[in-house]
Amino acid sequence: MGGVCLNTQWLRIVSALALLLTSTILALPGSGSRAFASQLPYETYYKDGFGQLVKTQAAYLPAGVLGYNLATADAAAVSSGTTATTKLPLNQPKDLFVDEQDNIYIADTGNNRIVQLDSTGQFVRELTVPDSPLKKPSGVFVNKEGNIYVADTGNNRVVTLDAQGRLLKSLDRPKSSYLPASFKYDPINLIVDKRGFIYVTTLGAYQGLVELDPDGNFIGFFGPNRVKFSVFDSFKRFVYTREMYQRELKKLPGAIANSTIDREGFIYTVTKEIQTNQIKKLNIAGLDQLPGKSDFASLQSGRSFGELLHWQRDLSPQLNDITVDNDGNITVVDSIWNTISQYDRSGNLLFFWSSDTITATSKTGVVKTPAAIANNSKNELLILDGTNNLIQVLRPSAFGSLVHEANALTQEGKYVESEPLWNEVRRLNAQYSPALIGLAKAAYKQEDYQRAQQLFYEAGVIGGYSESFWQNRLAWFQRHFGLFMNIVIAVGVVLLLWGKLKHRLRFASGWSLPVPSEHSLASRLRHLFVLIKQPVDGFYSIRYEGKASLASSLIILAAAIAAFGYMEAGTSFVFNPKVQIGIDLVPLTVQFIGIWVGWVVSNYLISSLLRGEGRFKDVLYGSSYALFPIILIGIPVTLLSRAMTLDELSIFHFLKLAIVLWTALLFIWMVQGIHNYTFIEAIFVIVLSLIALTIIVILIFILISLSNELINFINSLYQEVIIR
Amino acid sequence: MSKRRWNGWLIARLVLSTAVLLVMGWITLLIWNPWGDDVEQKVDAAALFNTAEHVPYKAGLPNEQGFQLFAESDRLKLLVDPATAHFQVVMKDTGKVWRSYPDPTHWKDEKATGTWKNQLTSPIIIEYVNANNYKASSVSNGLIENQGYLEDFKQTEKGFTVTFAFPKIQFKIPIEVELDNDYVETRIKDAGIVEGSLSLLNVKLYPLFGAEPSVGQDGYIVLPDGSGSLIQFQQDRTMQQLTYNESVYGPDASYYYEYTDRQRIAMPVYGLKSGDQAFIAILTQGESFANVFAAPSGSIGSSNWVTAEWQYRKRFYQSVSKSTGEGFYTYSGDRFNTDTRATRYYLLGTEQSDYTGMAAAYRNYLINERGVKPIQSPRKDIPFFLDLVGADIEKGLFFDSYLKATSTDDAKSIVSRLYDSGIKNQQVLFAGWQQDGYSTHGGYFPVDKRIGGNEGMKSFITFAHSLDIPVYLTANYTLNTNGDDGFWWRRDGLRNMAGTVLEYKPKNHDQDASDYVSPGFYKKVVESDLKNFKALGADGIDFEDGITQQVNTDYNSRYRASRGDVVDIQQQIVQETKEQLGSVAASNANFYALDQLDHIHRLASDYSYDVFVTESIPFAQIVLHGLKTYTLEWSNLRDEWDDEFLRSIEFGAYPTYVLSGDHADDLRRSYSLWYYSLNVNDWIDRIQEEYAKANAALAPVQDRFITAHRTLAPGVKETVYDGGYRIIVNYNETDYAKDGLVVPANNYVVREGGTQP
Repeated sequence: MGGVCLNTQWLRIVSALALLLTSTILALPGSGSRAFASQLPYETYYKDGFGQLVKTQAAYLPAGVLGYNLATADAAAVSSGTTATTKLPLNQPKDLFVDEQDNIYIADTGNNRIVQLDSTGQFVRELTVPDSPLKKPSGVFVNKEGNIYVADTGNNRVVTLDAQGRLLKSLDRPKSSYLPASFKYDPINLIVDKRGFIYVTTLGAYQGLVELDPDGNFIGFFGPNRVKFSVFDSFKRFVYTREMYQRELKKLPGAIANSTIDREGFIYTVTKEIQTNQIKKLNIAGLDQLPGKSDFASLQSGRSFGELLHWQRDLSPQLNDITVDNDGNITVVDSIWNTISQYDRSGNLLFFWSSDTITATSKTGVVKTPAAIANNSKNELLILDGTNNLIQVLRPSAFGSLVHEANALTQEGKYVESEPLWNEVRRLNAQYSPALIGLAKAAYKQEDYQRAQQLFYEAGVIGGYSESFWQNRLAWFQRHFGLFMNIVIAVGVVLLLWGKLKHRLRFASGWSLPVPSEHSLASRLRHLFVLIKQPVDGFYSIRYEGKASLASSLIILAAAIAAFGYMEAGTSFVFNPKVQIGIDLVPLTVQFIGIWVGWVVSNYLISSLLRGEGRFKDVLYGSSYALFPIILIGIPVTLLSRAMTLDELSIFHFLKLAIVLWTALLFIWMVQGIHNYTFIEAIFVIVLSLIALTIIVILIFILISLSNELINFINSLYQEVIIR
Repeated sequence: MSKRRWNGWLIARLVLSTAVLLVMGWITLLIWNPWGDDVEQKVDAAALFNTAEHVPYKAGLPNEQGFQLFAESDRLKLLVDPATAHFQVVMKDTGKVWRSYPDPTHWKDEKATGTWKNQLTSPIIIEYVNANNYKASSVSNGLIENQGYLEDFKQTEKGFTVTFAFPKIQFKIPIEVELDNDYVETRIKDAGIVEGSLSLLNVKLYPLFGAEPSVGQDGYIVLPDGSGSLIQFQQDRTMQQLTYNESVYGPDASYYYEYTDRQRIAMPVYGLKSGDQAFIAILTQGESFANVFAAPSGSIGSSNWVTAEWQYRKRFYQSVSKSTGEGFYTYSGDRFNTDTRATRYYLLGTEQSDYTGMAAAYRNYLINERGVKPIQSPRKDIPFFLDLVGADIEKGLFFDSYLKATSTDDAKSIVSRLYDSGIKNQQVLFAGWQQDGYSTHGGYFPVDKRIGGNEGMKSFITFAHSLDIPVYLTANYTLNTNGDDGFWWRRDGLRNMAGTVLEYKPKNHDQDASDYVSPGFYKKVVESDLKNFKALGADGIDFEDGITQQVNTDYNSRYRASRGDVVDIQQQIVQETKEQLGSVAASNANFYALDQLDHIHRLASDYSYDVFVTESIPFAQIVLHGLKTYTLEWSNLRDEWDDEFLRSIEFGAYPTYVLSGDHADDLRRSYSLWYYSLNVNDWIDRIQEEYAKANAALAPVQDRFITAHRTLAPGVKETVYDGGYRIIVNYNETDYAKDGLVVPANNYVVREGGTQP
């Protein structure tokens, strides 16, 4: 690699600089298509717990377009059996519902009607409720009995119709003292549970779904989102006046955008303008069932649903609608980025796919503006396009079905049955983590803990890894129990003998141990032990008694850096999941050294202003010596971590905390001892030093960015002269 | 001492000032430019038009009585109306008529009005723009709106010539129409075009040739979209306003192009069938400057029509701010000039009036006029195309790290395992062998040491040859990522209209952008690399993703090349490679390289999913079978295993897999090797099974043409080869049974000769 790569890298840097100045970046046609398996208008991905993208076979394939050719069957024309029907295409439809017989109901908002299609997409009827005409209906729900519920947005009401489309009830805004007067009641969607209770999604209602009883009486708000209250917010509350704070308080929880209900009665809500927990799976008590359930739960605190490709890093998903299939898989559609993401019933990502925006044409399988999404009994996805006024149908591919089948078994706990399926999935796509996880669970179930541990590691699942490791550790202990007992006995015997003989031995050899010279390296290194016992005195003697030298400090510093690196890279996967994707030690080390050097300089500068007695070299020596807990505890802790599981997490945390506390205390004592300060003075100087350090860092950044500008300027001048 | 130093300082200052003055003077000179070209002489275009003498072109359809016999061949008659320059072609034995204007029987029902109605009857539709006003939008016009007239209408030996004059907007476009034995050809003669102050953008000549509205007849438009696709005639279509307009041989990155994510047009053809008559149009000259434009019924008028849109200028987005991307649209300055732009319509009578007939006509054209030679005496077994990937790189901190996938020793073991399992007729395509692997372009040689180096590759090739297995090395050459080969992006990069070097931004955003190489430059590189390929003993180059696939105008003044020139350069490269090494393959190549190619790899087998397309057809495969070997996408990249295997049988394609050795590094984060699953161990059983099936079905017909392809029932397709060899494929979940023929669900049957196809 060496020379060649260095060479190419340098050229790359040069061309990258030049690029900044001269060229706009173009994505070129065809060229991006380095071997794409198919010309499907979208690409399907999986994203693992570390955010790494894995390309997968398509999970769903385009299966046709429905609903573009709708007759408004005149009642008269239908009854007389003539075919003379006028055609009225959909107009900005907003909602889609598929009943158990796969009939499709569309809330054709722009045409003030509900349209019913049969399972093949043929027009069946339209409902306008002539007795009390619908106005911009934007939500529709059909229950088992065939009763139709409509969120009649334009009339601010909910309408229930019987199976024939006759008006049963018209439920206006519920009258209740619990419903604030300021509450705007614009029903945009609704679902109905088995008891006939209606959960109405209202426009912009951050309070949650409006729950109504079958007669339209207000029961309460259901499943509200919570506002996050950050430290910064409490700081504002503390500092701001009441008026200022209230003006600032635009922080409302996100308004639920849509909801759905599954066979078991779980209610799912999806919220647009929030960063985490966009999907909720609520039980009857309104408790979210998703948090903590997924395999990567420990990696994803504050879980965000609705995936984006990783180059869309700074964007947040804007989920618009949600549907749940027979297996409990949750599919959500992102209305802005046009991405469809699918999760299983525990919230594990299965797939997501998205297409580029194309204005010049429309493609089968791609929706321009996804208004709503639904599942039918064949697990096909129907997506309503609010711009093109049609429905795109996607059917599960062979690969998608295989994954669904395998995952359903895993979710039911039938791990062994799932194994052959997951093996096939893994054969088709070696990088697809759910297959690894499925196989790992199967291996665990079959008590093949070694394999389970290995597979969980490859997939990056900490919980499973830790549990398999626990089993393996137990087995190891059991296997080696005899040996341990022998060692314990042997050690006991030795200690006993030592205790008896110690006295005699000391007399025999005590005075003959060679005393190292005061200034040898070894004695300076041994000074560390003084620091453990009497830290302040120890540092004092570094300053005034020459107990440390440059060589000894550098050795300790180097050892501390090495120990730090070892901790970062060597800590068990259980406590340091990043090792699974590989850790780059160079930036971490550079950061460590940078901060340490900055500290030495700033502390020396500050203390020399404030009557500190330490010279630069004393600060340097002292700051090196103060790092020794990293070596002393860090290395054993890291070693120990490999023998620990998540059950011992608190021990691990305690030991790491011990390193931090001891090091911090040592720094305080160091400042105290070297500069001859009191404890309070030392803390004061440390705070000042840290501020100085921050300022130095900021200055360096400014300098770098300014000099970059300068280089760019000179380069562009050069370009101008060369080109023109 | 100090004095001398002072003098030195002074001298330095003097030299510096002189230099600055000189540079300033030079810049002034450049700006002032006293020796620059004089203002070009403008022809007074207005004087060339004489409206008084000529009868303006009349709206409406030509009078069918006014047509006179102009030329005649064994099979066809050409009838022309001198008043309108419209023509009819009559097939003598059936009496079927193809008109260059809309069918008069249905014209009264035409729903288009105004300008569009006039344009539909015009023999020519032009689009132009006032290039001096960047806010002006382009205008599309026929002869009628511009008081246009016909000038110099002359009968010739085989047809006629005429010049279309547009006095109001000052354009003159000379054309000619000629009849031959089984075709009629229309040509635009670029040399005679007259332009006034406006700029000609594109021309559609006889756009409505053979057009018919959907009136319940069987009919379709054939598009060269992917492997080929059909827009069936329908009365109620979804999103009727959409049309198809794509550039032949792919979009040109040096200009603005509307992103459509469609498959590249590799074949410069289109066709239309209505009832039992059809035509296929082959763009025989100047096709790199053409678009294929299709307007299914209801989009523009009620006819279904499809035509070539000949490009004279292209739109360009001139950006003025790098940070905000602001800019404006402008157009390329000079007209694209090529001698002639010719569309040849082969007219297909009753039996041949479907897409297989069209494909056969195109195949005959390729054999007779393009020197494409059919496959001669193939080996007993079908070929198996084995793609191996040597290595790739992933992002590292300072250097990209190398990920080894297949060493040359691994390659030996893979090939011999497959050989021992009964796959004797293998062809190996080895990719990622170059320095730093698959994603690195530039300085391909020597073969990377880490997978075995030149020696390893040589020994692998020798080994393969001992089993009678040819080895192709895969290369791109149109990109340069590292500046090797003496490539300096500023000097040798492909430049767009604004002079900006074009960059390829990989899908994987970890990877740096790389530069496009000027065709003139990569020609030199390939030529100098050929001896290296030869030294390794390689049987040929497999051009992937670049040469024979990408046609971009190059504005780099050192290598200036129009689309036509780029096509020529690529043809030369392919020819030289073939001469030097003996063989060439290319992935999904444009058909201009067909005469030299021995194999087309990963030929498109799908369409672009436009909503107006009703069916995807194996048009390219029907043309190619028996001419060249071809494969579809690698089997281990299939979305759906069963369906796509059946498709490869239906399409007569040979099996191909992309594999790596057993001990490949973890390729998850590699730049380009995202392929789902490469490990040879995972696939070897499947390969054996698939090869055995495909070999049994396709071995007997390796050198035979496909004579028919049709849908027997939804999801049931039949492919018929010369001599009545039939393969019937059933994609459905249920068995297909009809007239004693039973095809099990998700399976196929083979019926040898005898029965009439």
